[in-house]
Amino acid sequence: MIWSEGQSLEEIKKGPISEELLKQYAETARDPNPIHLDPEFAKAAGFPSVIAHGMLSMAFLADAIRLNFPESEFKVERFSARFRKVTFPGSVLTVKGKIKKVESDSVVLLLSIENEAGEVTTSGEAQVVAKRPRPA
Amino acid sequence: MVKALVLKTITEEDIELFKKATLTGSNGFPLTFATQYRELEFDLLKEIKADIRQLLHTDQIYIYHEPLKAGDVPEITTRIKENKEKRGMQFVVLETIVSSGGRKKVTSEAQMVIRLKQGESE
Repeated sequence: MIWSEGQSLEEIKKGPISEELLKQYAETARDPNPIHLDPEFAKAAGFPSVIAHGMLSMAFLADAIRLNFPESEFKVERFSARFRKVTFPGSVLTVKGKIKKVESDSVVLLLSIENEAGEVTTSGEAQVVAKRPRPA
Repeated sequence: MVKALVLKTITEEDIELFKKATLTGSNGFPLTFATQYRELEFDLLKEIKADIRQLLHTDQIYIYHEPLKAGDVPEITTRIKENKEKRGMQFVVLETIVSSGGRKKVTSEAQMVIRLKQGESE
């Protein structure tokens, strides 16, 4: 595949995000923060309901990276995310990405997650490197 | 402030459970699998008396040194890399290094912002 700057990755949808998924994620990721599980705690923190884990969103970005750049062919050297807006149960999210920069055997990806209102909830960046040199 | 811990061996079942809980459809080892090794971060946040109701996880960075995989026995070391107050907010950066067999695998950096109550800030 020939990469070019500005090239878009295939969009993926995640959700609706259920409270059950948040419980499952909290247990698996060993995240004890009750803001993701306990509605009363979330209200005391100023939210109308529990909120999804930022790291669950980062896992969605990770899935988009790996669907486009499989582990068998590419290694990821660095991956970052910024959690910009909270996500509530019931949300359906769209994961997007595009190529920011192309170097000889690597690309820098710009990633984002949007909610149904088109607001960016999470943004990210990743440095992906081909495991084998690419033909010139 | 530094804490360290050795955890149980990563199994294929652990990886599949993580993929299920993150709705992951791609193959391979999940890039954010190391998030489950952040438990010492919560211990350190308690030690600095951070109010987790007022805590927001704003940024996360992973630097991958070597692939983490099934069969690895994670050794985790977590420290508070930064802790500063500014305009009624506390900014904390927690760094966790995941190693296995003495080899560094992943460095994770979690940036947190904690809203301070009046009278708590300097």
